[in-house]
Amino acid sequence: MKRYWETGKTVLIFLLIASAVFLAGKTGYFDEFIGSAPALSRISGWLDSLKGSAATPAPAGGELSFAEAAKPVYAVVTGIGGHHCGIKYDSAQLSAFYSDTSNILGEALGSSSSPQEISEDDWRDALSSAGIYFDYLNPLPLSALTRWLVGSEISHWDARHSARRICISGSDDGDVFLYYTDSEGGFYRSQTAVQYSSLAECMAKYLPNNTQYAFEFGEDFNNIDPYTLIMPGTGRVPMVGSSNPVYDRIPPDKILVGFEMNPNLASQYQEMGAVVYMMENCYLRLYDSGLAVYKATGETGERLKIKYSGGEPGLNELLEGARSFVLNLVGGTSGSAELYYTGHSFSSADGSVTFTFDYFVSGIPVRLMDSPHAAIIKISRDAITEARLCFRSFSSSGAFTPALPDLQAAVLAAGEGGEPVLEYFESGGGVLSPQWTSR
Amino acid sequence: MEQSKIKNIIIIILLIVNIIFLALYLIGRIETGKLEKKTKEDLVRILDSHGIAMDMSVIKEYGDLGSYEVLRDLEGEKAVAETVLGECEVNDLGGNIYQYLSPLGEGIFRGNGEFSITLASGIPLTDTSVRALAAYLGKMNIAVELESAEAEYSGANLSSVRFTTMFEDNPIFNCRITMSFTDSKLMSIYGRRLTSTPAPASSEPMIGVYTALISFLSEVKQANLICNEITAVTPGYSFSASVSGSGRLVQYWCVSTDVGKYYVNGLTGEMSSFPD
Repeated sequence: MKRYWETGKTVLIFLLIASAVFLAGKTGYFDEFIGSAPALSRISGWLDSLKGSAATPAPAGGELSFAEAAKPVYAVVTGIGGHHCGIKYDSAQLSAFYSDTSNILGEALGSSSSPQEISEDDWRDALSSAGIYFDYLNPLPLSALTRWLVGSEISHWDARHSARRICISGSDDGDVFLYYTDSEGGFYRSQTAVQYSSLAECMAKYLPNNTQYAFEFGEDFNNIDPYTLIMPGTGRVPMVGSSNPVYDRIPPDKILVGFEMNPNLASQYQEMGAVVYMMENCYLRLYDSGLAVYKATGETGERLKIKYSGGEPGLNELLEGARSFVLNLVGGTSGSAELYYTGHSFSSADGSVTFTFDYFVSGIPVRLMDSPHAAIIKISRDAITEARLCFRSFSSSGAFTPALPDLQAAVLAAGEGGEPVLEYFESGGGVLSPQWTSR
Repeated sequence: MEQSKIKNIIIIILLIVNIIFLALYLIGRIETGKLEKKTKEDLVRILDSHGIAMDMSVIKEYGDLGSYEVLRDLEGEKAVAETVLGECEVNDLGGNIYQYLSPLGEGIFRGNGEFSITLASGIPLTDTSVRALAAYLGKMNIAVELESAEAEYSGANLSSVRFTTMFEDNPIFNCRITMSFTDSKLMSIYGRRLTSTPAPASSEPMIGVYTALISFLSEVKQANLICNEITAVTPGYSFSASVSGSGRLVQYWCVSTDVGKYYVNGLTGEMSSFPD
């Protein structure tokens, strides 16, 4: 009998210990202690999972992922009556427009039939009909755009197909067509499987704001690019400040790591306003102005390799490699600016591809003082061999600065011709000044 | 000392420790309750000072719903189409738009969850009560909220019923399904559905009901919206997906007012509108 009594006491002791631990946890006084001890936090996590409140992280995909390297900077939604709602110089509105329409653009590109060349009149008819219009300001490879938006490539979009201006427009019988202009000035149309109801639902959200294409003004603007978008009430743009984030917001060691150079192994010396970091077969010059210039001087080995599938990297994989590299280094400190792909060129001499990226604030391109582009990336076969990155941090306080309105700029440009484009210029005073340029 | 006596002492000490912890826990609960009541009163006062009335009973405690990842399930989608259309022929139209064709009609399913099933000559339904229609959608693997049903009539005949879909008993505010009828025949089903069964995803914790109401107030003031009374605050989700079919369920708070419903993002506190 006494033995049972003693066993009961032992069991009671364990129960009381368990109860004390449970109650101690419930009081909340020991949360910090539990959090600081990995073994205890695992128990705490296990308890949480029993309660069903823990979220498990999403599985990481092994496939190459592609993200948009550029977004439209001008946009138009045209209603059934042919009246336009233009969107320019406003990052929030551009972002909302893109959120509303990127699915339709992806579906249109992904489901398009082989493109047929059309006349300029047909293109103008499409712009005046109910639909949506995207202007990226620079030609984009349509295969890359499709890959970003749909997640797969379409066989008939090859390297020859690129577009700066894209219009998705519905016909009277409910069919939806994709129209675009290529970099050679040709006009094309493809039939799509997009449902007119999707387009109509999007159009219903936008009210006309008297925006017009230059060709709709008639002979007054015959000299300028007929597809220049002229929006009323554009006499001001966001006031934007710029600064060099190197040292303050991004230390040189982090930049070296971004270039896959070991800061402890790189030898460094000062040279004409720059610190030069040398490693075997490569160097990085970091200028006081925030400009970083990298060059591989020999076999790169595994340094700055581009991920790709198959035998050789395609243009889209190279572009994605360049985009992710640039965004990883420059994107983190760019502040209110977006970094967009603005072009690429092939070198027949060594078979390399050079990509350019620029900063855009509220859809307005930024011209830098120290470099023609925010980033210039040269890729030879499957590795980045040269790079020129201009580190800048942009801030926008919500205040505005005056800018010549679209209509007046178009009137002034009518004498010279070309396309008037509003750009931010970096002049060294820390504040960007909006100026019109002719393309 | 005898082992039995040592055990007795340990039991007494442990009992005292348990009593202390229990007391601390109960005091904590009481304090939390008082604090919550005060927070509720303060919130009601703040809203009232801005001309928005709210009863304290409107504020209820809810746990974090959690974020979810949703990937498109083409097999499941085909099964949804075949529940209505019977055996279907599948056509990939490109752009992740799939067409399901059968002698009964056509289904179009998009990567972002939008779909429409159109029946050539309709399916006669003997029971068109809200419960029966919700059960019909249940067969299509679409859970809907019975209370959300909005019926429209053309004369005496039912012309359409619209439901808000649900996930784990919580509404998905921007996923609505409409069933349209002609002469008691089901003619079409369209709207937005989850593209597969959601899987838990990592995310920031959901903002609480108090933060949601403060965010709502700030947005109302900023946008100069007119609102006199808050009648309910309930949690739910918003579903967004890209053309590729990969999407996410994000926690939202629905603030029901005398002038309509407003939705506050459960992660950012920003107010969104989901078109009716």
